Amino acid sequence: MDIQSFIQSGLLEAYVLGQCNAEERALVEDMLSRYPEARTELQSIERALEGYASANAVPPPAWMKGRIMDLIDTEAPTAPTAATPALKSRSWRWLQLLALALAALAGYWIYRNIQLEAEKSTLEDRIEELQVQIDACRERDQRMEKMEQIVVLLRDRDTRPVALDNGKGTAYAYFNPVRHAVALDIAGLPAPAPGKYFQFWAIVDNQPVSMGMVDLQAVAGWQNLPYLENAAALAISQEDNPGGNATPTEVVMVGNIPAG
Amino acid sequence: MQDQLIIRLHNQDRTAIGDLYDAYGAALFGVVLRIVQSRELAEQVLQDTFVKAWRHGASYDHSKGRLFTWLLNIARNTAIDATRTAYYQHYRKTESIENIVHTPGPDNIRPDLMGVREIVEQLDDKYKLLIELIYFKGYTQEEVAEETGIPLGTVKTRVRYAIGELRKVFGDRSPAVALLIAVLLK
Repeated sequence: MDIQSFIQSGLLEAYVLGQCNAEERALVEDMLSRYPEARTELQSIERALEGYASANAVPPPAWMKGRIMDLIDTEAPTAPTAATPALKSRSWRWLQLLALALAALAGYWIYRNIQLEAEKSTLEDRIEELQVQIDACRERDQRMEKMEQIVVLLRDRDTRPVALDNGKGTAYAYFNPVRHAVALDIAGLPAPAPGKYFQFWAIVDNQPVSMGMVDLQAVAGWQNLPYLENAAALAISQEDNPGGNATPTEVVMVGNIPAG
Repeated sequence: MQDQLIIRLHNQDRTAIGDLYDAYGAALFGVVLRIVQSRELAEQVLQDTFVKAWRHGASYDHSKGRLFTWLLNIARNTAIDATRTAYYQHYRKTESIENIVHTPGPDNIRPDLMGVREIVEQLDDKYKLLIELIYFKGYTQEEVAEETGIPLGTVKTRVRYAIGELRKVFGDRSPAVALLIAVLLK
């Protein structure tokens, strides 16, 4: 077959289109190997159809290329050098992500712990502060109660003031034979000599009877003392013994109980 | 560059498949979509096509045709096999010839390429149909003659004429220009 009639025959088109039988294919390949014109003609036909296909191209989804490369990697024992780094780098990436997540978690845990510790100490301080306030309130409450009692005693018509005179000044005790109550106003007392203590006495039938030690720290500056029937006078002595003595050592103040 | 690519393909270098995909993936996907008429199935076929190209890369003989022609034959055969599965038969009714002819062509054509567009558009429907059936769908010329009732001789003449018209647009230009036109036509 001469080259011109071969080109005209349509066999090349059929060859590109995959339409040839084995015999035709052998003929075409023989012509291609012998005639450069046949090759040029073939390439022109191929480009025409390729151009037509390109003009009708549709972009595949973006993930497609990666999927194809993965498929090739999994079935290519001949190219392990290409597959391994991809796998290695992927698991390495996961490890990095995991480490990052753990570090973040640990960081948060430490941060939270510090925060909770600080909160705890703040709360402890606050509790202590409240305790102090509660104590102060309780103390104030006791003082108020005491003062109310004293006010009631002082307002009572049966209460008699007992002026305890030491020559330099006067302190007062209050005596109520109806209520059987005795109270001493500590604020009016002088300070005892250093190392000395005040002891309180009632004088009955000219005999001193101990009523106990004077409490200079008494609540609200008032001290309630035992009541003794038939007492004629009250006295305060100065003693060496903090627990007091059976008889007064040095009487520093004394005052008669006014008769009702 | 093409020679380099062929050497890599023969050596089972995976980068050759990546380059082939970049160059021809979209054109092949367009063809496969027309054959299987289902995006999901077309995606599967395109994957299989490149995996086969990878497996049989060593057997590619450039003296028998261009890389694209070789790839297209693999894609077309894979797609046709896919349409023969029970799954496909169940979900897809056989496409009528009218549907194929009216498959939407390229749009957004640039005005400065109107000449090219006109040649493609001027290709009579009867020639387009033949190109679609034979080139894209893998019908034999005998099958086309049987299906359309056109005598076999006429089918052969029309195929040659249709390809001749396409060559006016694509065939005698350098591959780079042809690719540029194809890209601009998209």
